[in-house]
Amino acid sequence: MIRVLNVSKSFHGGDARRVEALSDVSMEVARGEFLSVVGPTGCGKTTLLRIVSGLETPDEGSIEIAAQGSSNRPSVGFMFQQHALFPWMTVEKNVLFALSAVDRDRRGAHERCRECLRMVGLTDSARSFPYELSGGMQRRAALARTVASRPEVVLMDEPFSALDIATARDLYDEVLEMHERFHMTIIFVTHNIEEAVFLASRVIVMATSPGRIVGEVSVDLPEPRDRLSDPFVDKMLQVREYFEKGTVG
Amino acid sequence: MSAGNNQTQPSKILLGAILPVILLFIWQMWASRWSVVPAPLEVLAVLLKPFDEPPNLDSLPLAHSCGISVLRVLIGYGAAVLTAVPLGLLAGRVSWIRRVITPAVEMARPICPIAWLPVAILVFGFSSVGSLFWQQDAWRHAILNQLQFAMIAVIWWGGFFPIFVNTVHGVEHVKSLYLEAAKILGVSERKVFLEIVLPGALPSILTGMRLGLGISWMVIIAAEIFPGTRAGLGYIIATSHQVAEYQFTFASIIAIGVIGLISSRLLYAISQRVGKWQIMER
Repeated sequence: MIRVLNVSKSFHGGDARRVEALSDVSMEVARGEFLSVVGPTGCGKTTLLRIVSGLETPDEGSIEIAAQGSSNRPSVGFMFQQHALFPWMTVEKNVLFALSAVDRDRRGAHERCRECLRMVGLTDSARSFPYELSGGMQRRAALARTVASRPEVVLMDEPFSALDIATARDLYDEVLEMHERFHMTIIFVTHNIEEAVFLASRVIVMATSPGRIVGEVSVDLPEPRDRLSDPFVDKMLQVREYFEKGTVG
Repeated sequence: MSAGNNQTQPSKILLGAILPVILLFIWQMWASRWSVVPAPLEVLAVLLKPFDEPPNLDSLPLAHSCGISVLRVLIGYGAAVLTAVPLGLLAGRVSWIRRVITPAVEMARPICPIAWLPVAILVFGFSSVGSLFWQQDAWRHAILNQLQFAMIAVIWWGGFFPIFVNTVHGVEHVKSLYLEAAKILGVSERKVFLEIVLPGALPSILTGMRLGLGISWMVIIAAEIFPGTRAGLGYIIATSHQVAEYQFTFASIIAIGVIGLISSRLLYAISQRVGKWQIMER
């Protein structure tokens, strides 16, 4: 579904030298897969996501995203680290804005908007502005806007890192439910190992300077996953081993 | 939230009235010691009869002059808004247009609008909005003939730059996060412009409009002192001074203050409304 081939990307650092954000990164993501990418700050995981989304172009290498339908490029949804909701629009308008790109039929768009908001539990806040919502509700609204147009690929850049644990865990369930329901391909970037193992069927570990992939752990645990079970902890330890190796090396 | 927001409306008004009352008192003392200065009551008498022709002044009544000044500002300032906002949006969005316009704007911006009045009179002569119509009647004579293009042009000049500069600033500072989010969602350029760039820049545009309005009022009073008109608050200030009818000078100054207060409050109220999201996001 998604193939990243020998991608490299560097940026100008503050002091005229170039920072190698990504060096020769290759990976594949199957259709409908839930992939987590973990790594410390500065390992290029956000850059990787931005390159896959098309917001950034690689210096070297290529990205292929195979479309399912007739269109050349499948629709891609992106959930940013900050909520990125348009503050001058209500929650409903934010979702309708996303739908306007794909849905010409206004009544249909309203129907889909309502359904999306119902799914994330924001039916009563449809007419609220983002600043009137709590952090958790803002993330829910952002999630609703991201998946409203039913993108085949959803890219998530540490979407829940600013939330408290309880709120984040509620949102994991929402994300898993949407993945199950819409068969989306998800790449979920995080620095939180537990989050990565809990959500994904495969975890890729990245390391810094230069940003590169150092390991991969397949998480073939049944759902719902028990964070305290031995197999779960085992997987976390495997990921952490790569994580530490990358930090030291 | 500041303590001021918790106060009730009457106490707010009372607080705002303290300084004017003190000033009135000082003024009364000043006038009673120096007879050239009109006392507040003399000025009040003028303000209470705004429709009377001022004696000894070759001028239309005060209310009429107020109206003429307001109309001049409305037309000149309106033209400034209608030109500066679209041009600013364009310059903020399209980099080559910005590169073409910016040096000229930066060169022209520091020039005092009043410096252009002789040039404007050279270009427009003493033609007015009334010159556009053939038919002569009393209404035209009283109002349209007083709306000289030269004055409107310098008001336009004074209002244009703060609005333009703030519009460009507003467009350039729309968060890239919002633009990227819109880009990923795949909406059309037109929609991005109308629903992301424009509302994102609106608080800054309104700040520019408030600044521009203040400058327009300064410009019109100064411009009205020049020859070629028989009405306007600036005109009354100039002529009343010449014939030592100082109560009219003071009355005009107070009128300018009151009109300025009302118009600025109005724009402020609008900007609070449309910019609510920005205040709440802070």
